[in-house]
Amino acid sequence: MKRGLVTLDPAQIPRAAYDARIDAVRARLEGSGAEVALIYGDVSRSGDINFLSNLCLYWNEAVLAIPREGAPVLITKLSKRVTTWMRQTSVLDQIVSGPRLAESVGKLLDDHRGGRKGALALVDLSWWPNNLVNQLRKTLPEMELRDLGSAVREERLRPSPEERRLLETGAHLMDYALALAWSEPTPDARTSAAVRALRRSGFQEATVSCATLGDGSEFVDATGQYRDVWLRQSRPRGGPAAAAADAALSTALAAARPGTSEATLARLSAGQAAGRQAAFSCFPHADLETRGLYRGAGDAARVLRADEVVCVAVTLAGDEAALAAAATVRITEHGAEPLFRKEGL
Amino acid sequence: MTETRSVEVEWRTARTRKALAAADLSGLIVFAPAWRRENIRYLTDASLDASVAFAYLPSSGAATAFACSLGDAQAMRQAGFVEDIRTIPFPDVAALAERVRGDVKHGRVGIAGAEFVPVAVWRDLEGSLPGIELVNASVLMDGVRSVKSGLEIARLRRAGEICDRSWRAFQDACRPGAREYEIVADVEAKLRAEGAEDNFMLIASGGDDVRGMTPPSDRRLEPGDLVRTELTPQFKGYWTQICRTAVVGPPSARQRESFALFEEAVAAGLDAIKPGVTAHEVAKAENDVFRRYGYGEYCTSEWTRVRGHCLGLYLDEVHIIEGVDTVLEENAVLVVHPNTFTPLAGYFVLGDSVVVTRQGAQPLLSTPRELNVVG
Repeated sequence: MKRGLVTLDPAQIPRAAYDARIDAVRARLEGSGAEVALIYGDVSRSGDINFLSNLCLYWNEAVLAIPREGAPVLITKLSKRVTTWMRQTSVLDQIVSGPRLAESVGKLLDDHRGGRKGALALVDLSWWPNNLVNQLRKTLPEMELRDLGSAVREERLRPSPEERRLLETGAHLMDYALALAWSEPTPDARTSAAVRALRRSGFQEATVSCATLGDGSEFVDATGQYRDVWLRQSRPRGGPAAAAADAALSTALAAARPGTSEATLARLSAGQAAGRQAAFSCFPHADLETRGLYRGAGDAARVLRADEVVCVAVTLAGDEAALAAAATVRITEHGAEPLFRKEGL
Repeated sequence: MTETRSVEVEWRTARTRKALAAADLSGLIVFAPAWRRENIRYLTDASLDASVAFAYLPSSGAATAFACSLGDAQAMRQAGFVEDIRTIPFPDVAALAERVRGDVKHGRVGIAGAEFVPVAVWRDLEGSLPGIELVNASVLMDGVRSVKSGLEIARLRRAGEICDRSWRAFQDACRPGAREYEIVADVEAKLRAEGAEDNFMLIASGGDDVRGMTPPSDRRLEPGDLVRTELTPQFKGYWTQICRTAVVGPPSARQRESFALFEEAVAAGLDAIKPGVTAHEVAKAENDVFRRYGYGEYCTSEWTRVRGHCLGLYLDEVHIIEGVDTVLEENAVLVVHPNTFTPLAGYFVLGDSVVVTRQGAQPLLSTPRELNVVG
């Protein structure tokens, strides 16, 4: 649940950066022939809206409308009692609150050039709830709904300089939280210590799981959102399963460089899994929010690019629980550069 | 499968199948995005991490769970409610469609969570299931889950104990100068140390201009502030909620008056609870107190969302609002909270979670309803 600090800090991400992000969507909109782009988000899948506005969608669903001209408008199911807070913590000025998103989109278009005719461009149309798309079609029978593709996600894949700084800061803070966790004796105490440290250092989202397995393997697996960047780190230790997962991860990391495909890394790491059932994943940090599942069909075949930040993970099935070794790294010409330094040492 | 598990699975399956039969549905597909896992949890009892999972419950025979990660498949196996567990590469739902096709050739199949199914998945399911009408079964499942088993109530009760301890941690953290997000961090640490797997929490500190609660800011507490929160720890899937308001330093006369108003409204709502009561009747009992004192306008959607809601595997089940005629049966669980703004002291929250029993509302919390002085 997103219940950590929500803050809009121009020193971390300047207003101009948000303007540029919105302009990038407008540039894609130009080519689509549509007048307005719509971006969908819900509690567990709001990274695109957060990236464009800094808004934290802590509850329910929303749609961000970006017209070719004019200010973006957030259409939300959240109560208008919290729109003041939403304005304070985002770059959005215009927020419309209502229980039916499609109806609110229609009303918004009534005030817009072109009205309810022409085309609407839906970002990542295939990931929109089918029900909501049907409601849009019903509400706007004379409008064509076009797919704008992953117009926002693609902008999020390669971190900007300010995001790189946030990733480094976030990794430093997560390092500290994990070090505190490892100093505790039990899994519950470790979870508690890590969560407290992450929340106190300003992580908006923090998911931590810890366990000690029968073979002596232990892990503290942390995933978190710091401002608009995501990080995951887990370096298990202590037993054969931990050693196998860590070896598989290390093998993949050693081979990760621009031009290498996820499939190649998966093949290399599989050889280290010591005969255990294993799953390998490697995806951009921006996809951590959805655990890498809401990607394009061909995304697994793509090759790593220089300067992107990816989360590499190896999960091993065990008798008691699955155990993962995971690291968030920057891909450079010289290989995978770790963002994390201390944890696991 | 242990005997306890087996009895629980049979009970849940029977309730679900009875509802499916009444709705003329030949099977149930469950779609669970990360923020709405209540139905997948109901069938599998597993704590999941991946952002999507599916399940299928036929009208007879065993259920099948479809995990989208190795970790989730492992969690489903550990939970032990479902034996047939398959891992699928989301968004490829061919294996799910094949499972449904093997069971149903023609007719209607329900989908719990249908309103969240992505376009790509819906298109593939529809295309793979010719002759089968896919019907939204989310409301149907809300009804199925509304009456709790003994095991479910025990978990809700344990979550209630975590509420009590977390509220004490909240009070300890509320000192002048403390920042809202630091308070949340300390409460979260306590919750997790107590075994909670998650928590939903909103907070609002400040004076009588506060209109609602949100995630935390970096605002520091000041003497005289009211600090409002709802804490909702999740224990083994089940969410129980406590709503309280504290005051930093001695309360003012208006803050005490506000507390008295809300306490009377909570008590009225709780007094109305018995098997067969409707959500409307509970809400009306609460709102009548506000009306009696001239604050009726603050019971509308302009100022408040709900007067409480049912609890369980989702933290915001049936809404307690005037006009909602849903009947609360014995062993339903709800929080009664007339949280709203009034001019007395701004937004104010107070609420307790209870079980509906023949003897009335049985509390899940032991924290007294008081205007707690902190700092």
